[in-house]
Amino acid sequence: MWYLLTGMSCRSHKEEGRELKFDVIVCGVGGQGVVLLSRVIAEAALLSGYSVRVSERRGLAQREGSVCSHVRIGRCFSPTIPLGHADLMLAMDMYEALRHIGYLSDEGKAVVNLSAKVHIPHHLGINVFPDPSRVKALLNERSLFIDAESLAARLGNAKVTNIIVLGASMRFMPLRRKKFEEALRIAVPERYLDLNLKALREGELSWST
Amino acid sequence: MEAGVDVVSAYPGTPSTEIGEAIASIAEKLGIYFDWAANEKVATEIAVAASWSGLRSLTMMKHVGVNVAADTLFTLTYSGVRGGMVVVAADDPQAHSSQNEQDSRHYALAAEMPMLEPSTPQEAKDFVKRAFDLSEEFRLPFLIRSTTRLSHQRGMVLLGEVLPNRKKGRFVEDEPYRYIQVGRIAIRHHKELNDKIERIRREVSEGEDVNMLEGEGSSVGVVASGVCYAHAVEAIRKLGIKVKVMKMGMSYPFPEEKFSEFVRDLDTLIVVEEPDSFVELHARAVAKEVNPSLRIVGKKSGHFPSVGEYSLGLVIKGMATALGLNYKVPDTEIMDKVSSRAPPRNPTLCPGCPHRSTGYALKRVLGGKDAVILGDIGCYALLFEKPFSLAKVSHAMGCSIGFANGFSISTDQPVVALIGDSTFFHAGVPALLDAVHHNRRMVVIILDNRITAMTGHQPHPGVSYTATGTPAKAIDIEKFVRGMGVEDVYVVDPYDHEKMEAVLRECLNKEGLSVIIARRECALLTVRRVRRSKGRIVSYRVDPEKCRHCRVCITMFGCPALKDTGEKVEIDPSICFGCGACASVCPFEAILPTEGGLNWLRDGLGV
Repeated sequence: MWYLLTGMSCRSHKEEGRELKFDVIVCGVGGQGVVLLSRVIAEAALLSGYSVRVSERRGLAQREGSVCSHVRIGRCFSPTIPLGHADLMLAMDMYEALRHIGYLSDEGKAVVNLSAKVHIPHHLGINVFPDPSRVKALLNERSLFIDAESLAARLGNAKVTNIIVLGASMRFMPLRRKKFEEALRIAVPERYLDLNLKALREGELSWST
Repeated sequence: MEAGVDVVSAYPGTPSTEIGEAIASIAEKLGIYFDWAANEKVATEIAVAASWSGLRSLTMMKHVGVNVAADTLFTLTYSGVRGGMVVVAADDPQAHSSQNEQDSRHYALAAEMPMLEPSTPQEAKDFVKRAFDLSEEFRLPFLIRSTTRLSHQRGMVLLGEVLPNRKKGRFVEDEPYRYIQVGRIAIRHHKELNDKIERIRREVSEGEDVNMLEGEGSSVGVVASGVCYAHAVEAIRKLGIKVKVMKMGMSYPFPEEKFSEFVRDLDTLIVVEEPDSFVELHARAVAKEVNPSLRIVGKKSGHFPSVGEYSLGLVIKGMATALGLNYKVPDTEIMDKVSSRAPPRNPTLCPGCPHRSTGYALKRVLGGKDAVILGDIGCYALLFEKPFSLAKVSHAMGCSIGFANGFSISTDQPVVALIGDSTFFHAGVPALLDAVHHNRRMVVIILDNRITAMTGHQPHPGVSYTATGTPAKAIDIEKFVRGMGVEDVYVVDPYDHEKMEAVLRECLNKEGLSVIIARRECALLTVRRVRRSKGRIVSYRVDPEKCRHCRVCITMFGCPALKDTGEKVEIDPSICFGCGACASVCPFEAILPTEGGLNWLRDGLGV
């Protein structure tokens, strides 16, 4: 039932999945497209013939909360990734990257969007966020930074920031670009498809510029 | 759908809401009747009547919703059902979006309602189907218990065939007094219920397909249910240990014989379950009979926490410690130290939220007054946070007016109850009747944003359409409250701060009861409508010449669109909805629309 309703495909579904395990953490702030991003990765994994599980924490996402999705590709049982086990993290925000960095394994990499969102409780002095430069220093060791927002602005729509981050992360995932493109076809409305495909490409090429 | 369900009714609540949203979207196509009911009790009763008419019915609710439905459920097990009936209870260990983390499994035991606990998305579907069949076979309602990590999980599901449904049934009394419960009749039905439960235990719970045994040749056993089973299986693989496993898909009625056999020759039993001890209690009782020296590892032994949600990491650690294994766990202390540099993101009211305006006016009028302000369940519960620090109490649906009744007797302090429109219909009405009847001294503010907003905009009895979009009679809260006998009723647009403050001042000086209906549609809905009709949102801006950086807009109002640059305040146009409510907050008239354009207050678009 779930599949029909969410439009998620299970075309390439194989009962047990291949013997691969790849854990991805996707995090950000409500409104940054974390849920869509995790769905595209899940679709790409399904299309590649792997089994996949997605579990998300998004209760108060609408209200500028922290959102985090666990995407587990391949052979797994639990819906959540244990601390210190994620192979990759896609972070739409530096503070959120910092909050979830503990999920990364020793070899794990993080692709981090250079955005540091503070919100009204910060201005009210309830929870004061540290200076972004300090956060960047803390993340530096295992993170690759990308100014996806500027790239998205160049494409004319800030909403595809998330897909640019995805494009930049593709090379670290055991899935082919073609599968991500197919996944986008499933996950985004027709009229935004071209824009999203462009964003994916832009992200992928961002390392060479 | 695959069970051919005919009637579905529910009241929204995280993490159960998505089930209703999904059914609503396909109800018409498949001929399923679906509605959002006034509360969980009414929803349950709708499902019961459908079942008694021979139809298959479903109701779902969050764990605390079961409290509301419990009155009906406890007697329903005596009466039994005709068409299959399934109740889904969505528990929320860790209280991610709830006021507590109560465990619905205790309800299964207390109401003698058989229960299935799925572990995976696939089982979530299969068990519901199975539950419908069993419910019909044994003529009892079946409980499906889920937890947040299962409810908010996506995974692969193999689909079956969709069964057609029947639309209309017929109420027939199978035997005299079948649906009447009192005195001797009730006792007779209670006895019958006990027999049914015993049969279900023997035929289902002790059977092969819901409570399964895996592995052999080990003196260590693991028993786990729900999502904890998924954690446990992966933990066992990670640790590379050889254990016997019992997957508990039905812990009520408890499979006593099967479980006795399972633990008879074990040295150690590890119980993985959340958030309460349920299987562990049964395990202790059974072990006492068949294996008194059994070492039981669980919450009581201190290997697993007695509060909060389990995670894979936590299960690995608990098992490794219990078995004396050396498993390298990441240095959580160092990691916690790093992550703690990112402060938590407290939820805030949305931009344009009418509740913020109500909170602002109330805070201004009360000043430092020592009032008792009672919050309730809904977005406005966030008014307990800065900059408002208003609500001192937030408990359960409808409690605000109920508590207000008691405070008006017990103290001389001013008493203000805040309650949302949906919450008012759900559980506030009886408490307000009490206040009217006794003419209690209190101000009730009904924050009428014309929708059940917190759970994602479900309709309630006050709106003119149903869950599936068909027209419905909207109950006018003002007329309703007047009809109840409240004489002082005010309807105020919360964006109109001046008027709201005047009315609040007047009401707080009264000796009796007054009701203020703060009516303004949820801004998210208004914005969505404006966008759909190709209207434009005209955001506001701060005139840097006039802004003196007094920060009143931030410290008194605190809209998320306001940004403090250190020298001035700015409005982020990508967040601002253009409600303009902040304009009247600024003492220097520095906040202006970016162009002539739309003014919600003046144009009344939101009402």
